[in-house]
Amino acid sequence: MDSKRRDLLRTAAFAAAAAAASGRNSSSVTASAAELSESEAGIQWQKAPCRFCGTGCHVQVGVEAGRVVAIAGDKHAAVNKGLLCVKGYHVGAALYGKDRLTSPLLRRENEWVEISWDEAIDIAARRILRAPENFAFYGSGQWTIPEGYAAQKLMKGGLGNNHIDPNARLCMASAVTGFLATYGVDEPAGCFDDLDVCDVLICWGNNPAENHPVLFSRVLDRPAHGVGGRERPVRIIDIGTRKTRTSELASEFLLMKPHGDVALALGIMHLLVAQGRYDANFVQKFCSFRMPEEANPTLTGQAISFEQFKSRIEKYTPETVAELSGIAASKIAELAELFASRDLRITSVWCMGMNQHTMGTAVNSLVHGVHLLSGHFGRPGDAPTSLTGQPSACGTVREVGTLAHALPGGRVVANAEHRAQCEQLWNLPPGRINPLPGYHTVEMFRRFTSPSQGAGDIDTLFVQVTNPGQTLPDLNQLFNAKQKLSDKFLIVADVYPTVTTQAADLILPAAMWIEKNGIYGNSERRTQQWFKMVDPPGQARDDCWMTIALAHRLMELGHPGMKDKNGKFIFHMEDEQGNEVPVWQWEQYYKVNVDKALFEEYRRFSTLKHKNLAPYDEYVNARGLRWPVVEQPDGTWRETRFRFCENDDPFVASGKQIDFYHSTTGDGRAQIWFHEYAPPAEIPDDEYPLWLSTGRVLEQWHTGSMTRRIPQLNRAMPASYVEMHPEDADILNLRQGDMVTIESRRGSIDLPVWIGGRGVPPRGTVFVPFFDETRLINLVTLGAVDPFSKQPDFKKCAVRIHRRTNQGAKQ
Amino acid sequence: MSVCGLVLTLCDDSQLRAETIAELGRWPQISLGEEEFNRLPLVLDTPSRNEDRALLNRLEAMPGVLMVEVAFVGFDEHSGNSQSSRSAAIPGFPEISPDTQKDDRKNGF
Repeated sequence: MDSKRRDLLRTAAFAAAAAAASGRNSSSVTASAAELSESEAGIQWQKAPCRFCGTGCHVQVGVEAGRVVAIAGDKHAAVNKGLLCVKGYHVGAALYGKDRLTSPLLRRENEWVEISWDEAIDIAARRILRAPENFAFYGSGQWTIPEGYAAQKLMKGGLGNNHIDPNARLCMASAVTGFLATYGVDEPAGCFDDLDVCDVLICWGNNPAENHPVLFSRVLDRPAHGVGGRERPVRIIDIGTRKTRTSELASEFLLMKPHGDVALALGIMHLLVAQGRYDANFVQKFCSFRMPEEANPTLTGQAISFEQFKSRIEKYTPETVAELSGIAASKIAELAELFASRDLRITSVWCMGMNQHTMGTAVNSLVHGVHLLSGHFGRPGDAPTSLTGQPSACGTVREVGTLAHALPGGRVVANAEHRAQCEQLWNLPPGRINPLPGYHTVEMFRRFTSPSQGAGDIDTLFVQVTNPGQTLPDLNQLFNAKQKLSDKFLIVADVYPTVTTQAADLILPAAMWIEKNGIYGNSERRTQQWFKMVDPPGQARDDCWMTIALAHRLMELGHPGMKDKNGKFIFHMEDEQGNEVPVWQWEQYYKVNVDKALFEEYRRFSTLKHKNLAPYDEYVNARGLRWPVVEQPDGTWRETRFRFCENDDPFVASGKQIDFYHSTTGDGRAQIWFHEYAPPAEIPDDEYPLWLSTGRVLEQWHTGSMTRRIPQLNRAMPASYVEMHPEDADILNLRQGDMVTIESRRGSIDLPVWIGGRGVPPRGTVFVPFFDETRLINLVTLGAVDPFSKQPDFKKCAVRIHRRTNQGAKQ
Repeated sequence: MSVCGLVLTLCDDSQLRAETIAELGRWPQISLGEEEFNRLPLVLDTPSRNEDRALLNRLEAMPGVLMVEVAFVGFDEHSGNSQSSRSAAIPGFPEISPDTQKDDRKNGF
């Protein structure tokens, strides 16, 4: 780097740091993108949301000569106020790993052969055309909104096939079902602003210090400088099955047993009711009570009276809950006391701990119930809020509805009226959309990896923007079994080689992040747009283009579903003069803004369930807007911070205070659920005596396919390990760094032992992160799912550990 | 991370805070900004990428520093060139390496 360029970077770095330092304390802005641009004549700065987690931090991306040269936190972004986490500030380097996929590759006789894009699209289309009903599309919360929408339209509107599901099924499906069961509509009522004003923050089984670090630092900042200032310090209570960095920074850590969260929520509700300290006024006005039907339980359940609810929770006394949860009765009483205190503002946050859970829907509903029963809802700082791990799990999966049962705009395939609405908006002939829900993720892969002659009716699978060969549970059964089945065909679009591309038959090189236009939706309902800034390498192309090109090839080959009822291509696009633009040809793809066209089409669905979105151009100038976004009389567009509340939600009529306007009971009420405690699906025994929990680490994002290519991150956390309690290690005569075999009934892997590491599991529990593709912990995990959300439980299964044998070492 | 804009959150103890700032002023790789409340902006400029992580660790370990946050990173021309250490997780399938693809990568660092 020459000295002039270095000086320029130093100036920009200083401006960004000074702005960030002042940003948490005042409204004064000392550096902005424009100022950075002015100070850096050679570097062009543009905004984009970060590529990694669901927080939705905005970055300023500095591009020079077609290459990312700098990343700054975006001072104008309300989410991160100019700051980034360790992953965020290295996000630009994620583009530049040596081994980017740059050409379509076809497996021929176990060799990779480079082929043209035309050939690749043709192969994929012909494979689908053999039996469209046996095709499945698997995506993720890393799909941009237009990408997910295109995939959704191809499948449900084009092929009449509902076998589309995202990896978000593995991470937040139980949050969705929890919201639906409670409020009749998905996604949090509150937002990140709650973190600035709550008096108490309860972390239910999550580790935001590592997995949502910018949000957590936003809270930690408060005692010194935050909105509340010194006079309103926040009390952080961390409830978990293992001590983490969050525990170290929390005011209090409560160690619980696996499934202890279910018992704890029931126990708090029991005390609130038994002591008459619940918020009777709030409950009477705004809530009803519910429990699952005994046979064939559903998300609507059956109505119960308050007296029946009271009777059901009567047995969850502090003593009983202490036994079930491992949390002392006095601490349960303290938590109930907090919720009974109406002058406090309490925010609950959770993520994988409550979602990856065979009682995921139940515990999500119960935590909402604790807030509703106690009236800790609807004021800033009083909110139950789930967090997401991917940048657009909310925007693309939950809002676009890229799930096997869903349609855009909160519609579902099983509802005839909903299908008709979608067919009308898509201009499709009536009956095009299949009424039967498709296969959810686990079932999709079970059928893909089972023989076609048996239950394996999925024979062609297209995977975009995710890595199921590493993230599915019970990998031997749900993924690796594919290699024995010669009639199965796996198409994988990705940026880098992964364990999933390794098993592919056709690999499509993908553009990533700012190599393409995009729109994400973060955890707080914030829709965020960005423009393409650099070209993808080699022949890598946009995922959305792949979907459109595939649809067009299917149309050329005669599939009738690729045309609407007027005979137009379902992805027909026109320029400003009204001329059709052949966007299925890569050279033409950026002749129009395909993202804008798809978003404007999708936006019409957003009003169907009061998730209103603004026009595309409004997002171009904003650092995201939180839906519902509603046009004002003066033509401006207003976002919503607190849903269902009269003082902020435009859909709540004056005088109503609170209105759950998508109530499952149709009366504006939310549902407070009762669910009976049940033990985990697999419990340690004499043969497999230890609990295994899996999760993430600060430096690596999910399967590491991007962050392992960033030297600064990979050096800091290069390989996986098994965290053990020192006494468990002593019993097995293990020392720091010893290689062990960790083994369940489903599989085994070898790992080094880490004692006294970053996290501290209790006696009888071990923890393994899942980012390391060379040590796949999901060979060991369990495929049991929540009965409502179909989300697997990656947090609890039974394992045993022994020192690695020589035979193991050879393997 | 060759040029990096950082924000340090310093402790409430005024004496320790002053000692920390004085100590940081002696580090040749650091240019300090003006402290605002307990937050101190600075620029970390390391000639070698091997130094950046060590310096961050040193900053985090200082008793007067509560938190280190990053607001800016400038990449040098050789950063981001890593390929993860992969192994054939599914025996029998061929590896995909840069050599598998003939295409030139015009955009890579």
